[in-house]
Amino acid sequence: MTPWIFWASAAVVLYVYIGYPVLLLVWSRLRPKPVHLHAGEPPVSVIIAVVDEAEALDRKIVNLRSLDYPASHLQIVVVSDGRNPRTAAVLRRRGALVDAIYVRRGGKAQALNAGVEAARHDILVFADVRQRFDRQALHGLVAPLADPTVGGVSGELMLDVETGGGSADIGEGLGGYWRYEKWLRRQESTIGSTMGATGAIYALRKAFWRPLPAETILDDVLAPMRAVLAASRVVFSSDALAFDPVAPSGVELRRKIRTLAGNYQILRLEPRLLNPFRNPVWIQYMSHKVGRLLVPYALLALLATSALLVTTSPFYALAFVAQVVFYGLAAYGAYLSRRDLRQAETVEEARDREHTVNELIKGTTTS
Amino acid sequence: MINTVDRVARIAFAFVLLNYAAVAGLFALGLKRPVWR
Repeated sequence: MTPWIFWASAAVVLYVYIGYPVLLLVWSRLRPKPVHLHAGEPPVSVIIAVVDEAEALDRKIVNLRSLDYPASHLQIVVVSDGRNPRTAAVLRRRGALVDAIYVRRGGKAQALNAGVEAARHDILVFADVRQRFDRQALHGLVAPLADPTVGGVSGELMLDVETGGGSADIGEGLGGYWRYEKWLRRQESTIGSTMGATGAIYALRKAFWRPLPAETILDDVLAPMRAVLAASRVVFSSDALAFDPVAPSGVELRRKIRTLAGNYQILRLEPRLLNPFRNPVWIQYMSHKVGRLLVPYALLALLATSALLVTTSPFYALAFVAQVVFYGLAAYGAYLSRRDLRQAETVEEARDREHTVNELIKGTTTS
Repeated sequence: MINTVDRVARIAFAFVLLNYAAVAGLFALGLKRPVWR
């Protein structure tokens, strides 16, 4: 029994990280589904839900109003989840540029529902406050929607580590993971649909929008996948860029936990995704989204079974040693990550001290 | 050589972090912790 568990676990990990990408590569070469792009400027409603991010919101509004897109075709709806005084101050100051809505504090999904209700146009663009849009981002988002088979478009989030910047302790590993993830999305888009969208930048036809349950964690997967379940396509556009810095590993881990919790939740909210007769991208969904949920358990089973089988053959012994070395390296990587964070904090503290001293000197010389 | 080991270690850490987050995600969902991005 133990060897069976070992091989089944190895098969899950290898299929998710190697087999599925190879399948996508072959599939996208043999059966690509082209998207008919058309450069136009249809009216769009950009919807942003905020909870307490006044400075970022101010920057975001300025960013959206500076995009290369006619102002008359761009409605910006900002939904404040609760009435935070600093957010309210920004919305008052930028009142001429946005439609501001205040809702009772109830979470992002409810805020988005209110935002869509206030949207005047048939194309909805969803964005978070933190990420900056490229000047051509809206053109990149709406061009694929000229194709009637396309119901949604995911933009591309560029992390600072991909463009040579960033100093986050986990930047190198996360940058590699994100490039791999986007490659998968591109291939999935080529053969049909991506498995959701990038929350920082995506567009959806209003016709496919259904109010989100209040507890929804991943609106950027649930809303686009509902369009896919309605036999429409959700495609990936590398012409619609948004930029984001990588956060320290602790913050990125919390974001990842949230994403994966959302992937579990979505199976409960939309069980049709698990039905091969209802989900037109069932193979991709099971391989990409469900597979990722299974991998950690498969990794644990792989370690445990190879430890149990270590005396039975040199192969299992080698497999066990390889895993121990790998986890040892990961532990060393965790140490390096903590060291980087401590050094960054020390530099920050030294800067603060220098600033305080300079302020004191200035104070004594001017008084 | 040290740089290569450090690099591989950082990538291994990211891989472990990103994959095992799924287990933490299941717990977070089970505990019904509120999440807002």
